[in-house]
Amino acid sequence: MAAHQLQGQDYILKIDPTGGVTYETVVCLKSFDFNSEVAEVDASSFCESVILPGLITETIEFEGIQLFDNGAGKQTGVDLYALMLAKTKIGWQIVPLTPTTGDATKSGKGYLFNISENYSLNEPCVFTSSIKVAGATTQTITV
Amino acid sequence: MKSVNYKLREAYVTAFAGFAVNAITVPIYYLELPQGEEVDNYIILSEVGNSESGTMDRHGTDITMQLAVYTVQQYGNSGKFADEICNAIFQLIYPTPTSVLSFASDFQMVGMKLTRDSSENLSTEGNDYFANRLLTFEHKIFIK
Repeated sequence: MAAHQLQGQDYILKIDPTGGVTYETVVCLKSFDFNSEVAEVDASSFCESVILPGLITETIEFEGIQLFDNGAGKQTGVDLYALMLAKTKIGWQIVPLTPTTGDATKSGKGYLFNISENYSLNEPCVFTSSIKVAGATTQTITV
Repeated sequence: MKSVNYKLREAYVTAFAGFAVNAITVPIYYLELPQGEEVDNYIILSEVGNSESGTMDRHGTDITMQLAVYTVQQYGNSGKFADEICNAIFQLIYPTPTSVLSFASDFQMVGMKLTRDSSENLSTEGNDYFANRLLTFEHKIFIK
């Protein structure tokens, strides 16, 4: 397939409460971010200025509408809160809804580190949350 | 995506069935007063506007609906009856902060709010005095 572009909603965030076996879609998301950053190690001396790459820190941040009584097969903010309380190591995937040649899929494991729920007058209940990646992230390209 | 406009109009018409204030019937219409209708006090639904507010896997919309309240009295109109109609509207469809209108299975209203409430200047035509008030509600709707 030729070079192509995708919209944000062409990708979905999935998590697996059991750590990387059966992934379920997180609903109802409005957006999510994947952040990856390499720490700077300053090895500069009188001889020369040197910056080396350090450890990689990765997080996934997302926000969505809170769903209640959603049944099995999907992960809501309610489910995620239970996982965070249990300090469960989860598997995660950022995957195209319908992968085509050249599309990238990221996956790994991590912990839910925060959930913020918002209840405002005349607005739907919403939540924001983030996953801190534990271990390496794997990126695969659809062939 | 599904259009909620007609369903919202239906929900309003259903809610206002038999609507009366001070024992005076106040009918509700869409866009205009039908030809041949001769009523002094009525409500017109109009100015429908949508703004998409869905999620990544579910459509949603913030939809506005204007309720224009029209009253006419002879030899003067203090606007009292228009205000009484508006009060009755609030009691009917927005009695509590969590009030919503009921929908069929395709839509779910999760909240509504009054975004505009204004009175028009008194106008006259012969002995008829017109006092009108415009209410605009915004509804947050999930599309199933």
